[in-house]
Amino acid sequence: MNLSKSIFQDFLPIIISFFVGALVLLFVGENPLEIYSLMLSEGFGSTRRIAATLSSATPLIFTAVATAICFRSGVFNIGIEGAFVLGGLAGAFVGFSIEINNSFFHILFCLLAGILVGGFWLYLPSWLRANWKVDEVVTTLMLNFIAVAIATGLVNGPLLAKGAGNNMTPMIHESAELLKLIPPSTLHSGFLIGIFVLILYGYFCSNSLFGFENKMVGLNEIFSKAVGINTKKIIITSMLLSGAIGGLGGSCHALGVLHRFVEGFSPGYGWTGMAIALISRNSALGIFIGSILFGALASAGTTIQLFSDIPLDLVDVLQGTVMLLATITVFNLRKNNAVR
Amino acid sequence: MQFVENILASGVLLTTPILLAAIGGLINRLGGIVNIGLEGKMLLGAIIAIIVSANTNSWLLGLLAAGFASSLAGFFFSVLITRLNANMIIVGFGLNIFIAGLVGFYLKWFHGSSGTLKIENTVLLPKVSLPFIHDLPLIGTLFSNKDPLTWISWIIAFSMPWIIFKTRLGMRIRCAGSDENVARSIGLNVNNLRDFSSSIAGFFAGLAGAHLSIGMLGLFSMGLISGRGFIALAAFYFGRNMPIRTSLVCLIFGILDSMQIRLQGLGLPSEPVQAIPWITVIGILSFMGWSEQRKSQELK
Amino acid sequence: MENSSDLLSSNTPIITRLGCSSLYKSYGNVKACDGVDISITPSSIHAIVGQNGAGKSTLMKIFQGLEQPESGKIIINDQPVSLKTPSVAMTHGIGMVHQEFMLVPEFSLLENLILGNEPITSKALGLGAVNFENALTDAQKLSEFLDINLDWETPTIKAPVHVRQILEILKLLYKDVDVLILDEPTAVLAPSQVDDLFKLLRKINNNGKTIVFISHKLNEVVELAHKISVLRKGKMVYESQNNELEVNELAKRIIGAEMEPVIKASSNIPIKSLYPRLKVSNVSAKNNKEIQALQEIDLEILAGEVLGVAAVAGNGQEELIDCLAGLRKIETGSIQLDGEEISGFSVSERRNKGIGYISPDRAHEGLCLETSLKENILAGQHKIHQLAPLGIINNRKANAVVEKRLQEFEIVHESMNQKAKDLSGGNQQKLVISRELSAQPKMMIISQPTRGVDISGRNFIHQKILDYSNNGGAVILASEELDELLFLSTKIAVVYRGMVMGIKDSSEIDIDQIGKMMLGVNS
Repeated sequence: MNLSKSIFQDFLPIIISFFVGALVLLFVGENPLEIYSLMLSEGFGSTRRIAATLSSATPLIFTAVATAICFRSGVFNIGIEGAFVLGGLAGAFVGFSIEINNSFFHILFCLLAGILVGGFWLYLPSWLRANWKVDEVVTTLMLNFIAVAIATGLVNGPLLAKGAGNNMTPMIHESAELLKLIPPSTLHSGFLIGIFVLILYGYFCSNSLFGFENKMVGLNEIFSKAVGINTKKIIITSMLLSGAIGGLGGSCHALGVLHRFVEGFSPGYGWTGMAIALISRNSALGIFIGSILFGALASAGTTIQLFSDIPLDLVDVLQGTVMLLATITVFNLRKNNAVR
Repeated sequence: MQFVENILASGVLLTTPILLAAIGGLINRLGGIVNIGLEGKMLLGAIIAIIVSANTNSWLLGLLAAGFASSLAGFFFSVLITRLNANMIIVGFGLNIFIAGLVGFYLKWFHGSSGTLKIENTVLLPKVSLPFIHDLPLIGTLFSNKDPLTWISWIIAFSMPWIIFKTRLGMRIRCAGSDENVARSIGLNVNNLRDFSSSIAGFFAGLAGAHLSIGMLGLFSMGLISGRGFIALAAFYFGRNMPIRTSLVCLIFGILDSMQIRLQGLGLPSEPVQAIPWITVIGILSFMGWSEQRKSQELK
Repeated sequence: MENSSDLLSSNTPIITRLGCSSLYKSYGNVKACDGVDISITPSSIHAIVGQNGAGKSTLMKIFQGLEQPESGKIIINDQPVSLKTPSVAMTHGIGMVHQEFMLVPEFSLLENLILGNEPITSKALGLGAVNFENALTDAQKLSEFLDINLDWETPTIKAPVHVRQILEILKLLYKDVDVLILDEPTAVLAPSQVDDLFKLLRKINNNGKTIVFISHKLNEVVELAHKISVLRKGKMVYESQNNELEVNELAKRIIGAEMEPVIKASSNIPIKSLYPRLKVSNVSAKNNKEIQALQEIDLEILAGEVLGVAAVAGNGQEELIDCLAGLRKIETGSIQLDGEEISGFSVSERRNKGIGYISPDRAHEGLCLETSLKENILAGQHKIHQLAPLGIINNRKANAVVEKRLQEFEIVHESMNQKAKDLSGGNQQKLVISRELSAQPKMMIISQPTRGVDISGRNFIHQKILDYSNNGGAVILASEELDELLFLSTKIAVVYRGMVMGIKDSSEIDIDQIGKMMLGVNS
């Protein structure tokens, strides 16, 4: 009985969000069933559509995994958006400023740049949390804004492409571009990297020592300390890892889709990733399903504009509802939320 | 000198929305809830104000409608937290995204616009100058020709200390935010006090948003709020929940806002100035964490 | 509120202002109150004494309306009543001063006094403008009457602890409480402050209020109370009027030392070595309320020894254990393991050096109840990287290790993947002990090893501890069960008020003597 209640509670936010979306549609005189089935076919109806969905899902996989690693250990890191953006900038920078003929190495360096910058970005809040118990929610939130400010400043200043109007860096060299998997769709090998990261995450959760200790710290920090788990190390490592993965995601996005860095690089991938991590309760399978789902929403949302007048903002309504409801407790089941 | 005066004068104007939102957020935090959703409530207030003002030819009704709508949003957000145990940070973000979705949807569907809205017959807030103040040297420039909401926001800001510290309601809200158990042991209804503080925060956030739309240009756009909800959050964190201190911080942030707009206009990088509020919050929180840690009896 | 025992009416004088008869209350299968009878006379000072777990706090929660009894009656003014909530209890004039003060730290003393009952000057749009002048006048009247001087504007967080306690008492008087219950009030006070508190309580009592006073500290209770009730294991075992008080008798009743002398376990021969296994020198430390908890503690434990620490709760025993385990910093002195200084080491560093720790708080510190047995065992697994080469857990090996533990300790379970919270208390504790002993540490720090454990579990755990020490391990053991302490220890150190009163070899032990030392009598 408990298990079915638990599953129901997990799916409740999604169910209600579709319900709310339906209400909005009804209110403006549209048929929700029609619109939803249109979205379904736009999301999954053909190979090209599926490719578009997977392409939209790619950045989400990274940001969701990055967020989940921290949430799992009880660290309420909401700074992935910033890591993603700076990682993307770093990746693009190495992409256009260095010339390397060998594609493999060029891409490798770009991705490494993203990883290092993303990880380094989150070192400060992790140190503050581990040593001085400074609330990581506010610090990482603030860092997001600082990251965007830095990126915008750089892209409008020293990294601005010559001749471009505003707001973008030069294109990256062809050698740095990630391979397109199913041209002409935007799906690129970054998706494969994302899946690889996701599989690693799943393995991390179930089989690795670090993953085990990470989970224990999230369940009971007092107990973990008392049995000798080095909680400080876990907290810092989790944050660094999460920043690195966020940065990797940004870098892949720059190399695979945009081929440069632009202002407005991330339309909230970090927040969507957070929503996915939340409703999937940090599970790898859940993140996979959630990323595909939200990717489909985003992709279908864009294309149904060709067939109907439904604004893309419907997707925000759905996503917002999911976030509003993702952490409520209807039945009094024990939850391991990181609440502060 | 004129340049500086101009920056200060427009800074005062830009302070108003930040100040209103910060006061709301401060009250909410005193009650025990960190309101990350100020941004969304400001957006809601902004669009409601412009619609109502245009349709009723009254800026006052526009303001009141904005405040009321956002306070409802605030109440709803609070109930999820107090009665359904939702995480206040997530709900705050969710509310921002949800409202942005609804407003964007509405804008495109009913007005065919892709992001901005200008309605005919929108009544803007009037400009008011108090004669005796107008003639004072510096303060004259700063405080003349300002809309009533700016005046009201400063009056409210300066009455806050009295309200928070000298009234029964203020004391009880602070108790509920300080320690739930203590509040319950006195017999106070913690949930009601918190929900009430959230509704007030919503009301002020709505007014703040309204100021941005009908207080300045009479124009609404999806990017109108541009992070000011979070700047207000930074202000009351930095001001440590003390109203006067927070108000002064808001003024500083408002002037910084004015400066960074000027810098942009001159083609200079404005981002360093933009980043100042965020950096100061991190600095203040780190300092507080460090001093707490020195006192603790735990083995490091 | 009228004092119900007002003799101007023609009613017969009330016998029981507050009391209970045949009160039962259990939590799970632990009987907190096992048929309690008590009668508190109006305008008296009545003390309730007993060890931790004797049932005092449950009884007080029931009197306050925070818990409901399963059966039996609560009596107020000779009538049975039901106290559904604290507000109901308050209307009967009953109020309590908790150990954890219910004060808002940022408020001034005055604000904390009036919170909930604020005097209003005007409605002020529903905000309720508070009349601080009136409040101050009332406050001053109250404190003058009781001969106390308080700076009412001080922020509470800056006021010293004894002042905060006085404030808690005044809060009750401000609300016209007539029966004041105080829970371990002297735990946070220095000796001179205790005298002041007693003066205050006597004054309040002379004014007709009834005072119920919960404490461990026998000489204080003897000084203050008119009547004393002793609770042990949920039952009232002794009641005395003060004029027949016999401190030693009371001491025995509390500890239960009137039981038959226990059969001592065979003595161990300590293994000689260069250094004592653990050497504690001149250690002092504060408790969480920043009061001195330990002073100049000197102890030595040799390999093969079990040093039992006997103390009444609140005398520094818990803080000593914390300091040795690495959970609390020491202010002065040093702790050495086999000659190596470890006082700066964290918990995990001490574990790596070979110190095992069994926490008194099984539910939060000893176990992670929400997760499986397997994970609980693995989390504390010594040298876990042996089970996880290259950071990947080898499930086959891990499962084998876990199975072995569960078998060795005869832990009754369905599957290693079931949640720890599903086990019985005894099996949970066995889980904790198996995990700690499995690392074959040099030294074990054990606190309350059989709390909440049934008889057979107890015997099993005792045997494991003895086996461990017979094999050369050193043990420091803290327990509130004196018979357990006597059974297992080779030496006993008595701690009172944060100082070691004496260390005796177990063969020379006299229960009376220990009891007296624990209570600071004949120091």
